[in-house]
This record gives sequence, structure tokens and C-alpha cells, in this order.
Amino acid sequence: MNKLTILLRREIWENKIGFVYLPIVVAALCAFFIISGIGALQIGGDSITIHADIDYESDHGTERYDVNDTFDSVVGRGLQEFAGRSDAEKTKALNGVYLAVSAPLTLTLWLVMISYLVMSLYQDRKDRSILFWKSMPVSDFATVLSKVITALVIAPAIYLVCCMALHIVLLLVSTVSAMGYDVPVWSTLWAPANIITRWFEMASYFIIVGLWCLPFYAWLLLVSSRAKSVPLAWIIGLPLVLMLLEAIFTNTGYVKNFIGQHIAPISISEDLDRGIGHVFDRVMNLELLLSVLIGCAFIYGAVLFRGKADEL
Amino acid sequence: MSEVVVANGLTKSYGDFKALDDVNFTIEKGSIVGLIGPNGAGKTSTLKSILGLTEFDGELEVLGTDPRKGRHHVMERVCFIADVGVLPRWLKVSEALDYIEGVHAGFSREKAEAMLAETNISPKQKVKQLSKGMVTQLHLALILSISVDLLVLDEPTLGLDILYRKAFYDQLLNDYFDHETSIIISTHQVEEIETLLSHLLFIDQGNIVLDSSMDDLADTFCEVIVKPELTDKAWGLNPIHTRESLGQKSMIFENVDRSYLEPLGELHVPSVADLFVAKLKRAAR
Repeated sequence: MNKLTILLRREIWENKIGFVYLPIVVAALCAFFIISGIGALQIGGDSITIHADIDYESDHGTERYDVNDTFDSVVGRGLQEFAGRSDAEKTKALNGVYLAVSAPLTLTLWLVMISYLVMSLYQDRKDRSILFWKSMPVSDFATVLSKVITALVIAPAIYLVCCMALHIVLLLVSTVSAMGYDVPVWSTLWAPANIITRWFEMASYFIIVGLWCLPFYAWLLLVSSRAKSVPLAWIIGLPLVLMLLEAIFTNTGYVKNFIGQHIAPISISEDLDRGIGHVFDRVMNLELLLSVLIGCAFIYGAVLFRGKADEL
Repeated sequence: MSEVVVANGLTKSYGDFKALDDVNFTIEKGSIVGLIGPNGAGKTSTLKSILGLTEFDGELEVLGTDPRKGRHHVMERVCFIADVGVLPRWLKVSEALDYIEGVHAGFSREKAEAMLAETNISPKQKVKQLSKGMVTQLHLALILSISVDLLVLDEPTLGLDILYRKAFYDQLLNDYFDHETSIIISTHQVEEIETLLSHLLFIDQGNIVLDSSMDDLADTFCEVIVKPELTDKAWGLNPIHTRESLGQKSMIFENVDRSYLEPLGELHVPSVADLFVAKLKRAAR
């Protein structure tokens, strides 16, 4: 267990930019936009006039607002109207808002994970430092496992912490600005947002997405453990060949659909604003089991290749 | 146990090509063995087999166990440096210490820190900020602070200039060698390690062509600077190697009694480099 801890720390040391600095910078940028955006409107709100027709989907069908007023009073009326809605409606709307603020972070995480996995078993073969790593009493399985855990648990955990910080910023800033409009802050912003539940949902979302997309992530790892040059050609090439073969010989779309569904978390995330339960409904089936099995097979392959791996 | 490595019929094939063909040798505890051979002779295959880095046929025992049980088991008692200076560039010195301390039970952090204190390397520096010589010092300090039974060095000084190569071997001898640990060094820069070695293994085309302790070498091999008028007589004794330099002919004889050789001219113990050329030429015939 102790050994695994140091192996995980090693991964963070090597990838500090993607795993530490980048999420902090992205979160800080998002926080900056939230604070400066709301703050600027707060200060200059009564000198800005808004002219717009807004269609809004509510429980009572489509409603239309004709807006022609100063920003301040538009927000004031909007907030009051929002405060008067049902709890479920408030929760759904705020859910969407909190998801939207964490979107830049989750997108960054996905890209960081991809580049991390592609390079993780390739870079040290290329710069020959594999000769040093292999001189240590660390098994190939432990090495590969540390990469899997880093990508699927450690990195999402770090990004989650940044999302949490961002949510707190949003909650505080919106609270401060709502206080000027005479609406009950708790029942309007705090209770329906329920950010602590949101965090648990995000954590389980990251885990479920990690398992759902395991074939893709493990495929990257497998290519990384074997490829002799920039692994990109392999990553795209083989799935493409498989899809082509399927199209030519069987005239079905199973492979194509499976690949398409399991590359990006977005494929199971449409209903995320309605709560994590909808995502679970989508993925809790045999297809998830299949994903995990395929992923494990690829990981096993990566361990075997790692055992034979040498400097490039 | 006085044998550290025992190879019995060690064979490594790549398809039809045999990188190692039924090789037998023994490495005694406390010896410093030079594994010497031209490129492609089977040096790396031998070392990789010992380290559990590759599959092989035949019998091989390293510290009483079969390296096929897995590299990570071997590495608990064996250390290797394949080319110094392959430390990852992003690694901080302090991180390297943390890492090895975390994964290797035999690592003494105090020893490594004491060794590093004598250099200009600071714990906060990254490998990429160090000069090539400093990376060598760091790598050595790390590896030499691990207490193991066998140290394997595979062309350790390749790519280093002469100054660092000498410093490397000096440090190796001074800081490490205590007659408890055995060392295998493979290289083709024979001259540099000649004085270090206690045992020689010449390997060529997958076969061991010489297996001798340095002490026995003087008994087995003799170099004679032959007087010009006695050249024909010398040829009659079947030299394994002849060489002409500055008008003098010198010949190397194997297992020829000194009483036959003394009348021919001046006797020397041949240098390892000359012996290497002699044995390899013979094997090539």
C-alpha cells in the first residue's frame, strides 16, 4: 500500500502542470469571470438598459417576457419571480447553472486525462528513463495500476476539489448580489442548489464515467505501452479499421456505436441537470459490465507489453 | 552461499538466431566481473536474463532464485545501471530520494544525502538543470546507497567523456566495493576497467570464449616480445595472437610453459585489450 502511495505521488510530480496548475488556473479564470461579471453589473446595473424578448420554458408552458428596463430592475423582478417558483424547478435551474460553471473544468480534465494516458507508458521509453524505473523493485502491474488510478481517481478528485471551490465562489457571489433585491436567500439560492449533494453526485459521476469510458482510456494505455512512435496513429487507426471491417463484412453498427458511445463522457451526460439518477439509469446495465471487461483486458495487455518494454 | 550467479546451459534465441548458445558460467560472491565482448556478442542478453528483463532457456540462478519469477523480485537484491544519465529530466533530486526510499527497502537515505552533500547538487534541483557529469554523480549516489548483493552495470559510461568515466569508476570503487557485494560490468572500453576487475568473461557470438580470474590470467597467458632471429621458433609454439609495433613482434601464448618462452624474449602479462583481440580472432576462425 505504501509503495502504491509513492507511485501515485510520482505520477503527480511528473504531471504537475495538467494535474495541479491547470485546474487551478482554469478554476481561477472561471471565478474571475463570475466575480467580475456579476460585480460589474452590480455596480453599474442601474445605468444599463435591457431590451429583449425572452421565451422561457416553465411548468406552465412557454412564457414570454418583454424586457425593456434597467438591468437592476430586470434582475430584481427575475429574482423575485424565481423565488416564487416550485422547489423542483429552482433545483433544476440551479443544477444547470452549477453544471455550466464546472464545464470548463470537466472538459479540461477529459483532455488532460487523454494526453496523460497516451504519454504515460510511452514517454519514459522515449527518453530512456525506463531503464531507471525498471531498476527499481516495482512490478509492471503496480506501475500500470498506478497510471490507471491516477487517471480515474486522483485526477478527477483534484478537479472535483477545484469545482467545489468554484461552486462556493458562485454561491457566495450570488448571495451577496441577491441580498440587494429583497429575496429570501436561503430558500431561493442555498436550499435548492444543495451544493453538497451536488458534489457527491459529481464524485459518483466521475467514477461511473471512468468505468463507462474504461475501454477508451485503457486503449490509450495499451497503445502507449506498445507504440514505437507517436501513438496517435494507433489510437485512431485501429478503431477505424475495426469499424471499416464491420461495415464491409457484417453491415452492422455495433462496433461503431460502442466506440462512439464510450469515448466521451458527454454521451451519457445529457440528463445530468436532472440529477445523477438519470445517468445511472442510462449506464447501469450489461453494457457497463462489458465496458469494464474490455477495459480490464486492455489494461492486462498493457501490463504484458510493459514487461517486455525497452528503451525505444 | 558463495555463488551469486550460476548459469547452466543458458540459451536465448530470437527465432533461428541464438544470441546466447548454451552458456555456462559462475559468478562468485565479492568478485568484480568484466563481461566483455563486441556489439551483438550476447552481453546485453546475458545481463537482461540475469535481471529478469527477458525470457530465456536453460538454467539460471541469481542469488539462489530463478529470475523468471519476475524482475521486481530480482530488483530487491540486485541493482542495475544501464547507462548512467537516464534519470527522467523532470525529476527533482528530493523526489528521487523520496521515490527510492518509498519503493526500496534497502535504500539508505542518509548515505545518499551524505554522498550528494559532497557534490554541487542541491535537493531542489531538477535533473534537467544538472550537467551531464552531475546526473552521473546523482545516479551513482542513488544506486550506491541501496544495499544489494549484486550490482549490474551495462555499458555504464557510454556517452560520457573521459573525465567523468574515470570519476565514475573511482567513485564506484571508493564508495561501494566492500567484498560483500558482487559487481558485473559489461563494456567494450576494456582499458578503463582492467585494473578494477577480479574476473574476466569474454563473450563472442553467444559463446563464452574466456572465463578466468585475473590472478589465473598470468599463469595461462604470456606475451613475449620476440627477438627477431627467434621468430620462426616462436611460430612453432603456436601463438594465439601476433602483433607488430615499432618494428617489434609480440606474440601471445596460451598454456605454454614459461621455460619454453623465456629464451624467446621479454615476457609480460598481456593486457586485457590485447587478450580480447586475440581470443576473439581465434573464435572467429
